[in-house]
Amino acid sequence: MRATLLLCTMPLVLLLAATPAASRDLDQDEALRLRREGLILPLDGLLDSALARHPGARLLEAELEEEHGRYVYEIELLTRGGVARELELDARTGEVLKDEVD
Amino acid sequence: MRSIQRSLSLGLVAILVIVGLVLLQTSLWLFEAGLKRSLETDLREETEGLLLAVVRGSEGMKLDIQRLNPRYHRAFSGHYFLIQLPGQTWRSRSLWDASPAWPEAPGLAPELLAGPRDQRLLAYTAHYQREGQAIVISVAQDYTPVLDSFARVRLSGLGLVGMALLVFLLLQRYAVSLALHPLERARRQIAQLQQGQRQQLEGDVPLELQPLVEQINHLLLHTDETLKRSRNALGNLGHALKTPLAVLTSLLEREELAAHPQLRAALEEQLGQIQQRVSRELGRARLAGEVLPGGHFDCDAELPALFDTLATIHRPGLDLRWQAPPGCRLPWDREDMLELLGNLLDNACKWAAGQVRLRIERHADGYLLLVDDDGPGIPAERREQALARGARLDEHAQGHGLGLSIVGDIVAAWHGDWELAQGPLGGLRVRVTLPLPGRQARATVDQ
Repeated sequence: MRATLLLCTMPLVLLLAATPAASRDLDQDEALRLRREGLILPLDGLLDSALARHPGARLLEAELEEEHGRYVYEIELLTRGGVARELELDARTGEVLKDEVD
Repeated sequence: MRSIQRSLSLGLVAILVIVGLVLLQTSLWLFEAGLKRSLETDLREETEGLLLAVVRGSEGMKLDIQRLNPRYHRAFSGHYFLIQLPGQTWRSRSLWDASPAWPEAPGLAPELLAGPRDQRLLAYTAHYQREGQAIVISVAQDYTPVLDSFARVRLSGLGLVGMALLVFLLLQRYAVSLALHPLERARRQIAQLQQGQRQQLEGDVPLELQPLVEQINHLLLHTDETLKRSRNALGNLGHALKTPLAVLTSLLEREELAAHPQLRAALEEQLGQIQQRVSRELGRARLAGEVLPGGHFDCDAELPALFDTLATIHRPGLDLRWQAPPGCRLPWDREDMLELLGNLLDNACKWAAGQVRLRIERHADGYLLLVDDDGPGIPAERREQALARGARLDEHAQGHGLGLSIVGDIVAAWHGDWELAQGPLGGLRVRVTLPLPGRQARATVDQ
C-alpha cells in the first residue's frame, strides 16, 4: 500500500528534489554518496541501534530526509507484536529523535 | 574382556554414522544444487523483466519505475539490482547505501555476496544489447533464509540419524542375543560340566558350534578312557605282582632258610617294603588329581551308605551321625572321597567310646571336613608325630594304629591341608581343609 503510494509519488519527489525546499526526500544514490563522503552514518549501523530498542522487530521501510540542512532517517519498524512504529534518527549522529507508534 | 556383542555394536555404529552422515550431506548438496538451478532461472527472468523496464525517453535511456517490482523499493528488502549502461548506472532503491561487490562475469556468481543486514546474496549477471546499447543487468537475492532452512534440515537429519542409530542398536542387540543364545547355553553346560552335573555337552547346536561341541565331547571321552586305562594298567600290575609276592613270602617259610635267620629277616623286610610300595602306588594311582566330570561326591547319595557300612563293621551301639549342607556335592572324585572319609571315620570308630560325628562345611573358597570322636584322643605333643607317621608311610610298618597314610596322600593330591586337634566330644578331631579345584593355583600361591 505504502510502496505503491511511494511509487506514485516518486516522480513527484524527484521533481521536487530539484527545487529547494525546507524538507525533501533523498534517493538511494544521494544516500550512497553522502555515506561515502562521511556526512551520514551507514543505514545498517543505524538500524542495529533502532532494532536494539525493539528486539525482534523487522524493518518495514527507511527514508532519508533533509530538514533544514539536517539529514534525518525516518525508519518504520514492525515489532514482534505486529505493531508498526516510526522512528526518526539523526543520520549524522545516530541520535534517536522520535520513537512512536505509527 | 572382549565381547562379540560389543564389537558387533561398534561396527554397526561406525557404519551407520558414516553412511548416515554421507547420505545426509549428499542429499543436502543435491537439493541445494537443484534449488540453485531453479533460483538461477528466477533471477534470469528477473533480469529480463528489468531489461524491459529500460526504455528510451526524451533524453536517452531511462528506467521506467512503473515496471519495477515494489520489492526493489523497500530498503534492504533482500531483492536488489544494478543496471549498467555506458555512462549510466541505476541501483535499486532497496540497496540504499549498501554497495555489494557485484560480479562482472555473466551467469550465477560462484560465491555468495555480502549484503546489508548480514544478508548473503545470490547474484546473477546478464549482458544484453538493446537499441544498440550494451546493458549489463545484475540482480541479487537474499540467500540467508535458504541457508537457515538448510541448517535446520541438517540438524533434524542428524537427529534422525541418531534415532536410527538407537533403533538399530536395540534391534541388533536383540538379534545378537538371539544368535548367541546357543553359545550361552553351551557356556552354561560347561559350567554344569565343571560342577559334575553333566558328563557331555548336548550335540543339538547350530552348525557353527558343532565342531567345538563335538571336540569337547570327544576330549571328555578320551580323557575318561585314558584315565581308566592307566588306572587299570596300574591295577593289573599290582595284582600281577601280588601272586609272585605271596609265593615269595611263603617261600620264606621253607626249612632251607631256617638255617639262615638273618637272611630270612632281611628278605622278609625287603618283601614287606615291596608289598607296601605296591599297595601305596596302587592307592596313589587311584588319585585322579583333577576330577573327571560326573565323578563328584554327592553327600546325600553316598554318606548314608557309608555310615551304614561303618555301623555294620564296628561294634553295635556306636552313635554315628553326619551333617552336611543340603544338596552338597563335593567337587572331587567319588572314590577318593569315599576312601578319605572311610579311613577317617573308620579310625574314629575304632577309638570312639560311643559317638562319631562328621560335619561338612562349605566355605567361600573350599570345604571343611570335621571328623570327631569321643575316644581318648592324642596328646597335643604327639599330634604332629601322628600326622608325620601318616605322611611318611615307608619308614614304618603297616597298621600303625591311625591308618591314615592314604588320607595324607589324598589331601596332598588335592592341595588341601589336614590337622589333628582336641575335639568337642573330648576325643580327637580331624580337620581337613580342601580348596576348590579351581582355586588351587591361588591357594598354592598364598602358601
